[in-house]
Amino acid sequence: MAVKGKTAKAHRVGEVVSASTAAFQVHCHKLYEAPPLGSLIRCGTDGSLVYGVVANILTESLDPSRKPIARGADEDSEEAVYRSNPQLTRLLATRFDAVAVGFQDSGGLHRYLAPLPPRVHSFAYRCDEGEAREFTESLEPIAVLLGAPIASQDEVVAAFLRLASRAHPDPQAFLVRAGKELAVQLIGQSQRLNAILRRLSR
Amino acid sequence: MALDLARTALQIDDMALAIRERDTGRRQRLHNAVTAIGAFDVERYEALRAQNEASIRYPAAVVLEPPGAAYDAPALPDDFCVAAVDGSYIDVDRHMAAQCYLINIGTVTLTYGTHPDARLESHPRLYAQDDELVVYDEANGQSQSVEGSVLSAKRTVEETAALAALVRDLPSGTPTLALTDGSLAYIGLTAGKDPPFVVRELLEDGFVAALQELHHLARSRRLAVAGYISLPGADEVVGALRLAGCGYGVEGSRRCGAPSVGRAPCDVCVGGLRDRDVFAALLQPGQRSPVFGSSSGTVAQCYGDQAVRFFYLNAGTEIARVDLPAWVADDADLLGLTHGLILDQCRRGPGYPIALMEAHEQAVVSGGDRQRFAELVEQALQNNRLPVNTSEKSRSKRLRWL
Repeated sequence: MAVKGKTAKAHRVGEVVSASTAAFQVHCHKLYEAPPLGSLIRCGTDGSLVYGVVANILTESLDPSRKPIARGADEDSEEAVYRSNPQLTRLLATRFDAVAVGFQDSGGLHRYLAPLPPRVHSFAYRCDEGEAREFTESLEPIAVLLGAPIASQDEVVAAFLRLASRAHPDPQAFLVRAGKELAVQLIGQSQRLNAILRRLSR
Repeated sequence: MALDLARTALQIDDMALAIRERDTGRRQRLHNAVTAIGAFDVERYEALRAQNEASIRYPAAVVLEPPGAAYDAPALPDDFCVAAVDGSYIDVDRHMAAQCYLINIGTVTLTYGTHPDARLESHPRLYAQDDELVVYDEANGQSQSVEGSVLSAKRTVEETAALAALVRDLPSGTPTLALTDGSLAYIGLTAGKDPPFVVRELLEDGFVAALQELHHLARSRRLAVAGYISLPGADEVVGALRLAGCGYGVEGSRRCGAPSVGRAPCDVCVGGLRDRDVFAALLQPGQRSPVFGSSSGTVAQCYGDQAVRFFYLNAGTEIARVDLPAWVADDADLLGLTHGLILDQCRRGPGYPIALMEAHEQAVVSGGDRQRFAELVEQALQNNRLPVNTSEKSRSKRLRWL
């Protein structure tokens, strides 16, 4: 997969702050500017790229011992709360967890776990449509996501497939193909399968 | 063994009972104070204070205007900036492997209005050079270790210098309040009590010089400077009431109600009250008291043109004291800006100026940080193959053998 030139700042969403081979967490450079749930992202540098799917997004106090309090009782809008308390944007942080779904090395693109996790502080980038299309030409990541130890697993799978479908010339055909792959992966789990399929059609 | 709380609790109960007994006359004294402040004759008092300055043994504020007045806060400017500093330190520990101390300064700049913004930073600095660990008096060859109260004063000096540096970098077109945590009149050193060379280096050449730098910056921008004191314990205004109206007269006022001479309180006694008690009865939320002059002898001797004034503010949830240099207090616009912006900061806090709270968060050094600091020092010495000599006492506290 060609990723050169796509490491521009415009695509950068944040930095890895903790990482294992199965998952990593990214601290967003801007508050509330995480890629949507299910987005395909990558981190690392050419020759050692790890791909991930956004599985959980959280915004919280940077300092775990300090709790945000309600500040808007006298304000007219949410925006006004932030205008009146400019320090908030420096004291809150948006982070997201990503499930590792593949990697790229000198041998090419692989849709299974990388031998090593990304380094802490490596930059995380949002994949553009071309990369997302190339990565999801094979549907192997579905199996990785279905086996990932994350909350709301089925929601993440459905969000990933919905977003990926937009990168393909015929989104409906992609979703049908993905539905068939899900049916294979979830044999004997018809309720779960139907729940994911319902989310794909919306 | 941990503290025996059961035995301690009994003593705390006794203490609470004693406080309650002492407090029985408080309501009457507060009534006396409110009555006295309403009928206060400023000219007569100032004459009395001037005549008896040398013999008064308790703080009595300089009263510049009728003390019972109350002022509402003026409207805020559309755009404004609040710069605040706070500091903390790790003191010299003779049980540690190296003699050194650390001062961590937290700085905060909050910009409000058209382009809201925030800058929050911390600036740790380690002091370990020989000339940093002591204050020298070259004339007499004396020296004073920088630790304890002297280090605390040094931290205040560094805070104020950092505040000046912070303001210097701000755009000059925006009205700005530069805020510190604590008194401007007392930084822990007293002229006539602490060694003169320490007072000269830290107070006159350090703290007062930093105030002068802020004064200099204020010549080209709308800049107010203030020190905010939460739950102030001062009784300077109460002292003025005592001096002006004690039933035993000026001379006898020193011993009014003193158990040591068996003297009962006079009929109009205000003793034992704090200024904040009196202004809690006088100020509505958001209002400030008149401006008073500090009675500190150290200020009179060492501050030059940076004389300290103060007012009390009903910040909504408490009566706070605000110290400010005379050049701020004497300028009606800067005085109003100080009042308005501090009140606004307390409302945003809520209860305490938000900029100071964030500066504290930047500056604070936790117990865990202190331990890691000591470990880093030891590690650095080991890495450089230097002897790591910690005391056996320090080692025993860490290991806690059974």
